[in-house]
Amino acid sequence: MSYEFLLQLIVNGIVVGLIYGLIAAGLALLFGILHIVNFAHGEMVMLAMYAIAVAVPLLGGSYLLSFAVVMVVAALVGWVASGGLLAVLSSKSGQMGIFEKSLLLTLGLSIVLLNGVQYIFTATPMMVTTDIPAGAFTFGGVRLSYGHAMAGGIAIVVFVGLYLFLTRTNSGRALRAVAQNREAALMIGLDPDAVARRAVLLSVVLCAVGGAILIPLYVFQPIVGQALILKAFAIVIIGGMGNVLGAALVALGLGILESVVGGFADIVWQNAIAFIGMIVVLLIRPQGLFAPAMRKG
Amino acid sequence: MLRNLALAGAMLLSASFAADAQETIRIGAAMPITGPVAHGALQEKRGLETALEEINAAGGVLGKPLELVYEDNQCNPSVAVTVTTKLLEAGVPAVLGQQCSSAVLATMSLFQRAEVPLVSSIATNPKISELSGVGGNPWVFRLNPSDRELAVANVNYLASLGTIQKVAIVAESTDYGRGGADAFAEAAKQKGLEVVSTDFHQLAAPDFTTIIARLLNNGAQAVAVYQAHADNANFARQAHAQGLKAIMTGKLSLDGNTFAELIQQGAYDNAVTAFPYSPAVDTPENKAFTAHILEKYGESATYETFAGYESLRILAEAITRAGSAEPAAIRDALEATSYKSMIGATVDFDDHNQAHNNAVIITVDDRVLGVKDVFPTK
Repeated sequence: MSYEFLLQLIVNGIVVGLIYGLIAAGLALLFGILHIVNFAHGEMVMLAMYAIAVAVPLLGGSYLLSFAVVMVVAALVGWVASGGLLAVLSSKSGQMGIFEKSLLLTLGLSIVLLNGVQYIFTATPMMVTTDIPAGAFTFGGVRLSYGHAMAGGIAIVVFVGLYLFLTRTNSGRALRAVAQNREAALMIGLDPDAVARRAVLLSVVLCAVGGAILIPLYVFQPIVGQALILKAFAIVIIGGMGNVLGAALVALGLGILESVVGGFADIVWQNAIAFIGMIVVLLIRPQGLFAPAMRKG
Repeated sequence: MLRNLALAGAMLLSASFAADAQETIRIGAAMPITGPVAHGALQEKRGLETALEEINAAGGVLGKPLELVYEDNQCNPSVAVTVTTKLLEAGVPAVLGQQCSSAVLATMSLFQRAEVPLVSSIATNPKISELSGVGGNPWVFRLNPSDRELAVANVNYLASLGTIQKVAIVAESTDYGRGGADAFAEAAKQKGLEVVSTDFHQLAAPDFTTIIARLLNNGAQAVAVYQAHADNANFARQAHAQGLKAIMTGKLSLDGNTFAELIQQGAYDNAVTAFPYSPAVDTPENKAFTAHILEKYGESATYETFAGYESLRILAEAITRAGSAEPAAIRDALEATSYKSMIGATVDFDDHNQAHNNAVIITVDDRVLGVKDVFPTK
């Protein structure tokens, strides 16, 4: 096995890791702020892919324009959905707590979205030909397709933006404050509901970006979200539930590890890594690698 | 008052079900209506519905209309066991489909225990016919050729090109993928082709870059794939983007718009596959069938559409010959099947309840999909 082969695997892994990261970040954000697990997260990514598939022919075949339009629509949908979600979660009806309600709600939503999309578009594999060229370029003996390069590039921009937003803006700091301690945030005058709405919106937009960057790479079906979400769950658990940047780092590491292990060992191990990692982390550091230390007892 | 009304309603409803049960012959149809291979069920259902309409329009079977009872097995072995049990408990005298090898292999014993025939028309794992018929399970029949027969034809064609010495295998990690991969490796060995790598990936795998990196590195001149439609399209798209020049072979289902687009873009240049069916097979019956499907559904017929259509036709004919809709009589009649398939051969079953229909060699030359050869699998 050559040095170039190893380098190729690492570069592939970085791109795949960045894509995983985008999907896992939205999941982590929702858990951090609202303490809910969104089982419909994968279906939201899938919905974004179908939205682009519909938008591209309507917008004269332009992928980038469709990308932009779908982001705006996702933000609007996120804003409206956040209102509805918070209203349902805070309603006093029934005996269920927020976590149980969110489980049923998002699981139900996932089933409705998956089957709804299959009903409308059928399960026929779908492909969107974009204006991103289909070929690859070579640097230092490593090949990278234009689609993968674009996906990786956009993911990096989004992560840098997310990092700056969370650490340098008041809105972002408010998100982190509510994630750390909801009551204390309330005491210093933050409105947890407004912050939560922003978190839902951001999470929906992250899903949409995740779906959109997969368009030039994938042929997809309504089930596509299910394959992605399981790994995103493992990433969020390894990184520490609710830690957005932790999730991003774990995703990157996992992408590289999967690629290298798959390259040198049997490909079936590739899928096992995330879950072996998850089990090990749950045994040794159950709060996740990047979560602050937990007080026992 | 309300209670009485509800009771009356319930009685009426059950009476109507009972009337239905008396008037129709209900046939089970298990297939992956949801899940990663749901595309195949959509196509199979089109074939089944087309055959059903024709049979019922001609007066049904034994003077009764046929009725199909669909169940979703998701191509998942455990779900397949659940829905098959449901069908068998509902008392259907025969079941069509299951579609995936894992679902057939998981449910074969249920059919034997219930003494109800299963007519499988798409699953290709060679083990199914090894376990059926003489010395095995007499209740399971298979219409399509197994991957062993197809792999031999495929490798023979590849070897005849004279340019391919190194082949790689990429397959889904299911009974279908593993059965196909074993059959291809065995056939390649017989012909002196070197298998340079074998990769089994999960069904509905999102990313193939690692496998593609290996193939770019190990000098494979052809890649034999045993994957679900969507996985293969995904793999081909990513491999083409990464510049993999190895030709695609193995089991390629290249019908439909997505594949047409990928072929146009060059993702399947020089591809060759031995396949059970092509809408382009030039017989008057197949031409009429594909024209009808295209008109009815706006999409070309696929292997699954063909399989669904002929499986119901063959079963209906067996019930007619049996003169009874009892499972044992249907099984005996199935054994004596002699059905003229729309792709040319006469379908009859050997000792292992395996039929030997024709199959086709399909190639992509100059980015055009075409049938190179129609060959017997007997």
